[in-house]
Amino acid sequence: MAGLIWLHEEALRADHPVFAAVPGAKALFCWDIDYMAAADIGLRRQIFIYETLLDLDVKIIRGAASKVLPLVAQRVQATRLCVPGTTNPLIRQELSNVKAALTGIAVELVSDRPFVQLADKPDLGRFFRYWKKARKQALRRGGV
Amino acid sequence: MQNYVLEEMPDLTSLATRFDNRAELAAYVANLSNLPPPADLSPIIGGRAAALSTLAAINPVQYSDTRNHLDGAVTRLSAYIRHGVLTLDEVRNHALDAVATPKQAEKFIQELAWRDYWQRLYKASPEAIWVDIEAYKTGFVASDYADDLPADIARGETGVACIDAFISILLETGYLHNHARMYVAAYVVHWRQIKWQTGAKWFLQNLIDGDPASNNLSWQWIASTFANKPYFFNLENVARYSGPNINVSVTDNLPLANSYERLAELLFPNLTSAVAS
Repeated sequence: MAGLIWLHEEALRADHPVFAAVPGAKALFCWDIDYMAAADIGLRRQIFIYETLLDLDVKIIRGAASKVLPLVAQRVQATRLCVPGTTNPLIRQELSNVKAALTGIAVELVSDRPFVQLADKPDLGRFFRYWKKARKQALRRGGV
Repeated sequence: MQNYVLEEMPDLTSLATRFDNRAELAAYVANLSNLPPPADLSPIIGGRAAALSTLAAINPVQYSDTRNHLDGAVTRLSAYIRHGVLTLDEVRNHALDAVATPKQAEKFIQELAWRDYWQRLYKASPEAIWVDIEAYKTGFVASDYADDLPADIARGETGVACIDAFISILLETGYLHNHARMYVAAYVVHWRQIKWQTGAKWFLQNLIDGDPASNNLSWQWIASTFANKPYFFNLENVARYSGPNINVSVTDNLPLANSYERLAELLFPNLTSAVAS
């Protein structure tokens, strides 16, 4: 079963759980200058991102993910696409575009390791309400 | 491992992965965005190796004692955390390993928790981070604040020496100490009456660690749209924390050279009672 990984700018390391989710899959980073502009990613940050990508086993392809990934998926007859989890509305919108362009391919978001694991939803009204709930776990290895 | 060669796909363009030096890489990336290469390279180096080297150098105890000082023992991990090169979990675990008791690392870990907090807020309402969470508590309403960033601020030529120095550092390195970010943000919103969204966007465009949640929600905290009162400061405070390299002379920083009480009257004249930083 061929898999692909769409690595985006929020998950630039080799031990992100997305790599374990689809072992051996090729990872692609889509260098999309329109996204960079929309996300307010200036030149210095673009350089930082590119420099970081050079440390990774990832192919850097120019263009929007919604254009690049369907072509590659078709080429390798991919059946799964795994993507690091994200809140970013711009990435999620592009992911919707990718899904719309792919047929018969399972798309999965893979979350990163959490900072703290809380049984109940903390009150986010102010930081110190959250901290009161999270402090105990935050001061432990693994946040558990 | 699948075997396929993307170079054989003429409708896709693979980008270069080998460069002789950072300057060559920077010029290549600039060209992809049709921009001229930067005059100077940022001291913040990308990559996991650089991230781990930076992580190995942190001192949670010194951080706790000196973090508010511009020449204090700050970690400069933010760009790596922002782009997932390091996780909050591994940074916290490293900090715990570096101290005798968790309490010694608590201030440092609390700063990591701030980021986790911002991310949780972001996840709860992804689109809301560009919207005023609450009303301004400055005696003004949102429409009283300007939409555009004046050119003198964008260029670091406001005539307020310490603010110009901080902006210069931001533009030249892509990094700014958190306390200096607070000074600049407060100057933009409260002294110049610019919408926090305008300043937040400007920071995002220039910071290597620019994170929509941490950045925008911090600006909202400064502005008072996510705090019980506005954050502001005076020249005495800058002098206390800035170290010897920042010009904090009164004559070169006149708009900041007042007591908190007087500044509150000047900055927030519609408030009936003075607010304090």
